[in-house]
Amino acid sequence: MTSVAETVPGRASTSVHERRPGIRHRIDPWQLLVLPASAYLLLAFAAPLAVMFAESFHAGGGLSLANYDRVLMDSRGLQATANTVRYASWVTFGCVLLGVPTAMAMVRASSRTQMIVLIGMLLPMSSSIVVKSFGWMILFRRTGLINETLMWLGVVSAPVALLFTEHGLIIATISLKLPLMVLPVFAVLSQIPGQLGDAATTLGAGPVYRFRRVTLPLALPGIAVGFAIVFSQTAASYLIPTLLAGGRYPTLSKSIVESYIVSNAALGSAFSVVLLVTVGVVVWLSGRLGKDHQSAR
Amino acid sequence: MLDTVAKLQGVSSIMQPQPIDRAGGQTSEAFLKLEGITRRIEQQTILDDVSLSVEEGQFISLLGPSGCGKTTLLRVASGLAPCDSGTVRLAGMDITGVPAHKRNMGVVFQNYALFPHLSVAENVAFGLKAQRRDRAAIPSIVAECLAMVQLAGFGDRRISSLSGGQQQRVAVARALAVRPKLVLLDEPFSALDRQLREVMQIELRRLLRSVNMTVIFVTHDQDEALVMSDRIAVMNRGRIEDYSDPASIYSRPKSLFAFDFVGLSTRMAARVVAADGDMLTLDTKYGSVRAKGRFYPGTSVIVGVRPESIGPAGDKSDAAGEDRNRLKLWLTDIVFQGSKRHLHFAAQESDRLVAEVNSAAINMFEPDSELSVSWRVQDTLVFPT
Repeated sequence: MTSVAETVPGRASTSVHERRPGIRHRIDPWQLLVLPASAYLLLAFAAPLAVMFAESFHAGGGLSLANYDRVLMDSRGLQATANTVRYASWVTFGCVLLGVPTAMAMVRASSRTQMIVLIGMLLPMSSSIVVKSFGWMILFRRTGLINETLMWLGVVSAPVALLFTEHGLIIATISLKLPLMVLPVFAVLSQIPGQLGDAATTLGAGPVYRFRRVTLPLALPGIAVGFAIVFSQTAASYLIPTLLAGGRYPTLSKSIVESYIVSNAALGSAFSVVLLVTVGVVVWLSGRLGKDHQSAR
Repeated sequence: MLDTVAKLQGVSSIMQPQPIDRAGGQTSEAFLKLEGITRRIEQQTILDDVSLSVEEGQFISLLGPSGCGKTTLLRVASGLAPCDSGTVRLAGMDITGVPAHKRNMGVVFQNYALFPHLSVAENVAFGLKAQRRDRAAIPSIVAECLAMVQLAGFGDRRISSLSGGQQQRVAVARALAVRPKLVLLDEPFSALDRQLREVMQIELRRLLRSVNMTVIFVTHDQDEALVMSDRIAVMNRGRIEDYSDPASIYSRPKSLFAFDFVGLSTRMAARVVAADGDMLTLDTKYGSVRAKGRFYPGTSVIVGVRPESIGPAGDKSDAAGEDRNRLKLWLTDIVFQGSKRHLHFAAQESDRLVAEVNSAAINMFEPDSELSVSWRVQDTLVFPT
């Protein structure tokens, strides 16, 4: 019972605020432990990123915006950007729609059931994306299980196009990214004391009101994390759209690879920067969403 | 037990005429009436055919050790837990099947269960908004409720910035804001330290009396129950063993469990050697005592005496010439308790021998010596084993 009191959000944070108010400028020696990792990140991540950023302004032997012109003004470049944003948005939306109820159900389940569902979600993540994509290709074929079943049930009279279509790609990707939404939402929901729901109920809140006013606001930080992870992972994915959507569906990640294949590193860099900025904006927005509601009055 | 409940209903319905209107003419029925409540979870009986009647405006405690079913009974009354059989009636209406969110009961939870994402005022307003009460009136009701718990001006504060005592007040204000028919308190003081707890007990009792709320209070702390309640239901293993006012529970408990649970007391295993009408002669390991009761000779029983009833033989009360039991006991320890001291005597097996004396009289006693003690025959309680 006392453990519930300790998990009431906010209690921990007050003690942190109260800790040593005067000594703000002295560096805690323990903080030096982050130095090796910081040095590594600087060399292996920040430096190449800077090189790439500089490279993206490099065209015809001088500095220019020509590469960005090709990415954002050229119809194929623009299509790649639009496709990526639309594809990642739908997948993220689908994951929220399916993942939040799943996490809510999991929190109420017995710890045994929770374990089984968690293993069931995590185990497939250890197998190759290629294998899983090929699995979907087999299912999506005109003579695949999905079309056969739909026709047998009489839902459709002719096979539906799923393979090499955007909706097929979205359906398949949701199945691959769903755990990335369920896990953070589940983690946040399991921190909420069960008595909060009981308190809302006794105060006269029905299930819908309880969800809107208690569960959802408290789950929002978890949803924001899942949102950021699923969106960035989907927008950056290369294998899944390549295998399931084919060459007629340009995305930013595919354009990057294609540019580097034809040795146009400058154009590839420009595509990379656009992808980075797009994902960065969405991650930043989702962070705001989580924070705003946490402190909302 | 049933006859006392019936007696209580008769008396109280005269004293409190209000339920007549609400009950729609059913004058004889208590405000809250739990009948034959049984709840089983996986073969285990949590509540075993429990019945309880509460009059309007009364403060009732459910007292018992953890696992006795007291919290489950509270949850059944609030609708948060279902019952396998039995009925819950409130103000003459059967509400057994009414979902918890439509019962309008104010519950204060053990850890307060305040909403961490809402401000103090929003917590208090939660029930009013959820029940779609008149929006324009909400701010004034919230202010009124916060003032009632002495938190006026705290409306904009975050829950995490409040102390434990303040959080508890918010929980009380939130529960009272919806003008509940019944207030249910689930061990609301257990998270507070001792001093604050005693202050809050008095404060909360006064507040709830002033708004004439009917209250059910769950606790495992007998002192808390004795301080707060009009009546106490002592619960053990899913049953109510005793249901009476605090003074009766303390001095005339109906079961050994109730006797043991409410206060540290003298108890001795004994055997009935003679029964003359309702006057029993009992053999204990320390000598013969007499008590009132109806048992056959040869029955094994437990003799119980409250510690403050026992005094040294030969003192003022002993000389009054009443019918008294006397025993010679071996004094082992003197325990300081502030204004009182407890004398502990050498006891055998599961017996326990304790007397309570004024600290002023302490010089009369010396540990590791024999002491004659006495107490009135009418203060001697006998329980079946």
